[in-house]
Amino acid sequence: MNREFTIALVGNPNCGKTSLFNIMTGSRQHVGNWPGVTVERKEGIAKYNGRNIKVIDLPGTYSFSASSEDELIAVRYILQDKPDVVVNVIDSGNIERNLYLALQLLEMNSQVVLVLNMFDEAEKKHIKIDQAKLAKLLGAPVVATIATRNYGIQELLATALKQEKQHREPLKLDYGTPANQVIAEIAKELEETGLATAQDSRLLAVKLLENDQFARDYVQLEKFPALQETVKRASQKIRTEAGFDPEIYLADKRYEFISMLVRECVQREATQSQDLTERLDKVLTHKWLGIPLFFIIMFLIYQITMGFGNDFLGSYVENAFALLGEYISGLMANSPELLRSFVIDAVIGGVGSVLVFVPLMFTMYFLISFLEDSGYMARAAYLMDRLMSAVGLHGKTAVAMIVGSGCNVAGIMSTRTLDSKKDRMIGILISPFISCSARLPVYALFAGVFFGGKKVGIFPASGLVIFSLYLLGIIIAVTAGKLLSKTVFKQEKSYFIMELPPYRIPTLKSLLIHMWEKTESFVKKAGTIIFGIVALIWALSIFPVGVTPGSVESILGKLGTILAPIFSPAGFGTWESAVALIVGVGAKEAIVATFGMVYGTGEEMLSNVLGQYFTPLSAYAFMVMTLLYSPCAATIGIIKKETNSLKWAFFSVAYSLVIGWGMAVLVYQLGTFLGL
Amino acid sequence: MDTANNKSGNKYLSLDKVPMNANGRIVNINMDHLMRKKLTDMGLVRGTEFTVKGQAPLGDPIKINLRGYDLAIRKNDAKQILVEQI
Repeated sequence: MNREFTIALVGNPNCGKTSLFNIMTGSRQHVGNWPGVTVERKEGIAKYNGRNIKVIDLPGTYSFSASSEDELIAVRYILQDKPDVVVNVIDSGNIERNLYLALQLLEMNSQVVLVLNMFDEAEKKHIKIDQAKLAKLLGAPVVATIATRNYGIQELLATALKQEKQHREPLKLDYGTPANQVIAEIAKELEETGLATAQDSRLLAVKLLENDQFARDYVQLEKFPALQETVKRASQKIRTEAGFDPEIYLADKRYEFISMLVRECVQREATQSQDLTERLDKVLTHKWLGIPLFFIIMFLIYQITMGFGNDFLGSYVENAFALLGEYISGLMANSPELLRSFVIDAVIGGVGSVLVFVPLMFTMYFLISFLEDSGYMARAAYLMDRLMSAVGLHGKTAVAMIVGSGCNVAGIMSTRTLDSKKDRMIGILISPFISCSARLPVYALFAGVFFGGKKVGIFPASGLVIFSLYLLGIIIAVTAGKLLSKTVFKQEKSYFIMELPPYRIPTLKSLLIHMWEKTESFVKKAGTIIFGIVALIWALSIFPVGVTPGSVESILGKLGTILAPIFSPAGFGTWESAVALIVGVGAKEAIVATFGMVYGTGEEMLSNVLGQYFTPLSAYAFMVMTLLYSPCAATIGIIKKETNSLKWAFFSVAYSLVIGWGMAVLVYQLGTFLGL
Repeated sequence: MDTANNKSGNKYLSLDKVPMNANGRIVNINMDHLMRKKLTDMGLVRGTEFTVKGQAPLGDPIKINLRGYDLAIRKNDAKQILVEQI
């Protein structure tokens, strides 16, 4: 047996599982994907006495059944891949609810170690847990840990290793008379038909009785009519004798058992003092202060991301790439023109256009991870839900929209925390309308040229123009959300049932790890797509051989000429605008550079010539188009990945093209009519 | 769901109507499969005791404390949960 000893971490969300994983594996970890789905698979190596132990961090789940993609992965992994030890991480301060998952895990035959994590928090809350008694009553070892202080980790690893090749009797919960009998019957039939072994038959029997979809699929119930009949009869029996659906009845029994465990093993001292969470909530979710504070926090995040991340750090990267380009250009002075152009414009320019955003992402993800780990993100959803639900959206969608104003890709990724498919799909589909930082250079150019120096009242007109575009993005996103929830996703239900975890001070280490992970995956996934598109655009701009790159004779120029008439009703029906918009699908910030190329002025002199091609009105229409038309390539890629469907990615492109074009035309025609 | 009194003299009402800082016990959950399962997983079942701890600034969702942790739930969802005030 050369297989690595594997332990799987499983636990409720907010139980400190990821901190535990980080402390166990340190830098020896990597993020991959579970086959076929988009949920990240985190695994790493822990070391104990020189032995390598593989640790898998399973997605957080409240129960051992499969109602969301995350939960399905955890359940499937434990049942099918059979890790050597399942480590159930329990938030000690919240032990009662956390035990619900533990009971279900213990009903299986696999080796289970219970970890009472954040033991210090429980102590602070004056909660005393009798570990020995708990271990005895549950028939599994119990270890106390404090991940943030590296306490108990060695003991946990030692305990896990000790379980190797041991046999543990599955926990036989007493479900009461009608149920115990029918569970035994179903289990027996499962074993007789060879669908289950003596070890997991009881768990599967309970799950079948609960009508759990995963269990039904796992044993392929529809292929066994006799078994199906037994399960049906058993359910009926419980329904008549206990008066409830088996699902409710069995859950009640589990919670009864948990109440007994808590009575026996947990002592709570009543305290009058308010804890930190209560005091913070008094301010942060205050009736009058809560929402203004939310907007102030969001504004600060935006300012720090743009000011520090983009302008300050980003400029270093930009300059570095400019220098690199010059340097390589000098080195390749004698190389063929085509090769030089490819390396400088496509490779360095293309990679640079992605990497310029890395400091922005680092900064934003650091701050967002802080909000998430500290517990504030849950409050943000709680604060905004009433406003959002008024237009058919979910509180958590507000969080996604704010994250999306930095980068739409990040906004879409943050919709993962939404439970219902309806809320998640709508969140994904409306995120591209939120004005992201990549659109800002385009606004800055046009607003500066056409509205600079003018004032409306006391406000500078260019500032108002840019503000109006942000507002328009939000209005279109909210309207689209409302329409989608009333039409395409009319049948799907939405609900808001969410834990508000205690506030915690995140550790710098975990913030840095999250920041790195998320940025790394952005660079990898978005980088390949953006690079591909930039290379393609470059190719289109230099062929056929012999034309001036980016001129009207190039393939790109010809494509622009064909498409230009479409944009005439919006006031910018020139081949140059069309080309800029095509390139903008690759990355919106590339629009400015493209104008510099096709007008032959470079970016610096652009402002001098734009006046010849645009009026203030058509410039505004063009900005509206830039805001709304098609998500950028990276965003299209992430939509496909997150929805797991090319169809939805295509839908997103198509409907935003229609909306963008329609709004640009509307602005231009209305403005012309009003004589602007 | 009418407001009525049960045999122990406690008042029956829906969860969204329970006043601030009052304690209650879950009597019946009248929801579809998916939502009820979510609540079950979160520890809210028949017989669970809770305290209403607060509400979001615009009055919705509400925050209740049960089994030692805080849970936020929309009033519209809470309407379908019958409780007795204790």
